[in-house]
Amino acid sequence: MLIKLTAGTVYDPANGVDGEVRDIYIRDNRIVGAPSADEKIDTEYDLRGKIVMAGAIDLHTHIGGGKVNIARTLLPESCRDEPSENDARPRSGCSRATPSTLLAGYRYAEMGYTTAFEPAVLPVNARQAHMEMADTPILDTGGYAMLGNDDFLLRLLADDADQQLVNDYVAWTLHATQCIGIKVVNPGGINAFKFNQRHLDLDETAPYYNITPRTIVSRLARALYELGVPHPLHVHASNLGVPGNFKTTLDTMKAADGLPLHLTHIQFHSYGTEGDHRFSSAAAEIAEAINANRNISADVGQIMFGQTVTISADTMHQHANHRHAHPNKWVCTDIECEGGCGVVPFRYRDKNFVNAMQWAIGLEIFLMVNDPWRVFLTTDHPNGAPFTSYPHLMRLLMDRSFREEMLLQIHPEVAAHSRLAGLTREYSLYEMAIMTRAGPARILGLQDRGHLAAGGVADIAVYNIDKNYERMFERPAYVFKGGEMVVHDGNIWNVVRGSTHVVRPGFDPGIEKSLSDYFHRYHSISMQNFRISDDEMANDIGSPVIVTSCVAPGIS
Amino acid sequence: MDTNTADISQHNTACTFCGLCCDDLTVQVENGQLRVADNGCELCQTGFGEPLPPDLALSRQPQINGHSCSLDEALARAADLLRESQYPLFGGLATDVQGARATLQLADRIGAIVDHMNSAAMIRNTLAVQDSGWMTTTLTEVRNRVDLLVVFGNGIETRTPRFYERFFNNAESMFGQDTRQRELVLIGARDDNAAAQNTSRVTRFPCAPEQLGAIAMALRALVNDKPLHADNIAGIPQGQLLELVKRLRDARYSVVTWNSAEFDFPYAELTVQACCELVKDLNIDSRCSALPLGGSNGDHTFAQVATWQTGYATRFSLATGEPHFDPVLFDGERLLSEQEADLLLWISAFDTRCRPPRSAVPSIVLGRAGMQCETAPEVFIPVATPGIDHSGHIYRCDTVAVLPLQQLRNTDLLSVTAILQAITGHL
Repeated sequence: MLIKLTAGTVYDPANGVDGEVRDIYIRDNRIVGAPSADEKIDTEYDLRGKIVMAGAIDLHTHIGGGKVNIARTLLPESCRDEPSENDARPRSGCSRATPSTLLAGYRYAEMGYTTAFEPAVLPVNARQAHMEMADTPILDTGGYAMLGNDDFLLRLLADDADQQLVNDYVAWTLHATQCIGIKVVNPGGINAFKFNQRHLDLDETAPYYNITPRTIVSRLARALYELGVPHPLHVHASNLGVPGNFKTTLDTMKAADGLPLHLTHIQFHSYGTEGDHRFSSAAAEIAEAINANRNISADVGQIMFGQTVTISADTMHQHANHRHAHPNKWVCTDIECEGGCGVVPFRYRDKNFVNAMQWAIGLEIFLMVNDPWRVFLTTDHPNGAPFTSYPHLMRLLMDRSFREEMLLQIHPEVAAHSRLAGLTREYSLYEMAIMTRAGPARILGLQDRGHLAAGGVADIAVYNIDKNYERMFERPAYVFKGGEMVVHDGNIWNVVRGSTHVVRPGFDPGIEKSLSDYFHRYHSISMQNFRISDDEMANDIGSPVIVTSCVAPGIS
Repeated sequence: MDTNTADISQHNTACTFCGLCCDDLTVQVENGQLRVADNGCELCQTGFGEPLPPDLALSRQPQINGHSCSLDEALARAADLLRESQYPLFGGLATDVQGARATLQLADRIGAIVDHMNSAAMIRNTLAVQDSGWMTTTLTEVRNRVDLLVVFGNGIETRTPRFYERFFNNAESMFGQDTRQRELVLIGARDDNAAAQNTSRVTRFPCAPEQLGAIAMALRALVNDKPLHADNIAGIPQGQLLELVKRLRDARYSVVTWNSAEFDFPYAELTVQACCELVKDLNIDSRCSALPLGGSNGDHTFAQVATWQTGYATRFSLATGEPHFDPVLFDGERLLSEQEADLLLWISAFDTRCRPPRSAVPSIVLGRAGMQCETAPEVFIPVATPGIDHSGHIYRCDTVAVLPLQQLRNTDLLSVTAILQAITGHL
């Protein structure tokens, strides 16, 4: 099967292509070079006047795992209020903030997304995360396993274990959970909450173990670096949502000692304490630090106004946030001496000063970070807003006058208290393609995604040119997944199944001796049943693995 | 069955027959007959050890109206019934993750009502969560942290037999606790409750199940320093409740548990909610967690898969092209007794005793091989059991762990998944 996409305007930053009219050829599931003149083109699409980009990649979106199901259970009204009514979709589903898995797959594809990563996979719950993602059609997926509040690691660190042992455990976890990265959430803080501690700063010692969050961050960052895992440690820093937390965020950046570090939903970690409301923007300080430190990357976690639900492993802060629950109901769970989960519904209000500032702070970070390769477009779905608001967010970043119009509609003090009104930058299509395609692929080490050169997997989104970028990005003309057309004119055309991206760093299997003993003595399941095999992924879970290479430092 | 299969002794086998899903069993297989050699409780011995029927071949034969037929005939007849049905009900739903996926795919295609056989018990917890949420914990946390366990009701050791052995009377715990010092409070336990036998530090508050909610609410009021204008609540002097509140506040990690299957009285979701709100309020200053126990017949498994695929765990309709939840309207027993449903598809792959309820509504039954229905259904297809006849996945009661299930013997029985997919092929 040979497909020709003719004369589209191509934005492919991974290959330096900035709006050039080009033909693209697809053979089976991959992009290929121009075929010889005598080869028959099976299907041709005339893309004159249309924009062509690689399929978009979301590197941080909560689409799988027990916490999402808790949110669905907690909010049946969310489902009632917004049922799916789209005959083009082969299966039914519902709910806006935490859509059913089937609907999540359709809606992502309908916007031109072809890959998405669940950033909070609790190791013991990894099977569920992968099952839900396997039931998220069309998308390829992957997960980041959470460490840093699990008692096994904290025991190692409390004993000042050799870094090699930490590396072995991290690598074992990546294998056992079939994940592509490691995330730490409020390092040590979730564990501390189980000892009834309600606050833990970066350099405070955690109860029982007497180690600091800084140690946890630096040891895990080093482990990933030494193992050659492409994605740096994915950090949900201490003091989520706490006014004044930008200092902790800046200190957390330093905790990496110059090693790569990814700070997630950084908007929620960029707050100062100035002004009458004791709540201010520290976006400038945060953006300056990102600009100055090339080892640091971040995704924003933009908020949008309206009803959503916040889902986080950070029980320490989610429990504190339950006072803001809207509607007034919430769930917190301690989980398996590994982590936790807090689910708090929330309504961001444009006339509320703090919420309106959060909106402005997110946009400020986008606009003040210079390098689009190191900042990523997320709403921390569903925490800041459902992922379906991405096209609106793209327009806010690409269209200054639209942004200014929106700024006039929110709490009147925000314009005076933020730099947003003075930021004239408008993201170009090229920069948008970096931030949503080439950048995520690079930082995850995905060699054959996020670009349109020969050899790449044929995940391609085609948009109709429209000055209203929201309209443009919410309804692609065509989306191809692995060479199959899956969306036509914004509607699902064909449903394919995805695969799971994983990494497989090497480790000394001797670690299983101490792990097996640990599981036997303290855990409720055996180590053998904890590990997920490749066969299980492909068969009963239903999403076969794709292995991304690790390159240990010093090896080129 | 291939009786030439090598007999095996399988370690680290997970059990599907109660919500604890213990995975430390050793199961021995001899000529297709299973026996749990190590760590088997009563429920698990019964589930694994189900004797092979005397006429093995006959027990694996599909039937139409009680007469043996070929699998193809049974599938075709089932497809005809489903196609003709105006208002089909999918009940039972005792299967594994793959079976739940196949069930929902078919239900969505033909527009069925979906109601698990354990919905009555499940929905008591669900309604409480939907209304106000909860703060919970999971089994490994309990095993390592609990210092005060408060049990509402009587059913922990009968419905989850190894709970005390594995999670309360465990010899070793992670944080240096002397587990023999753990304290147990039984509220509403019958005198024959055996929990106390292995624990010296037990306090008992006898009461009827219907009074459990009043006690939880009184405790909550006292936690919040609200005065109670009654000397005793459900027969328990206020002073004793105050004493318990002090112990809950002083505990480092208290746990409040119940099994909603026991709360078999009207509006029992309010009892669950009272327990949950008590726990939440204790966490203003101290740590306390709820641990909803229970589960059988793949109820948590079906609930989880249905929740991620439709937004709802059970008692929902896919008849109108989008999921609708209603715990009363879509109660399967009601739909059958009032003959609102015109067809029942009953799935019960774990327990031959869990047969379809009596009703005048025609039925298609996918039952664990060996099941004897009281009256012959229109179509009966014997099915394989997950974790015995084929691999799969089952959810534990805390819903955080999903245990992998192994195939332990070779039979020619098909899984629920395979049969539902074959029926779909005939539609």
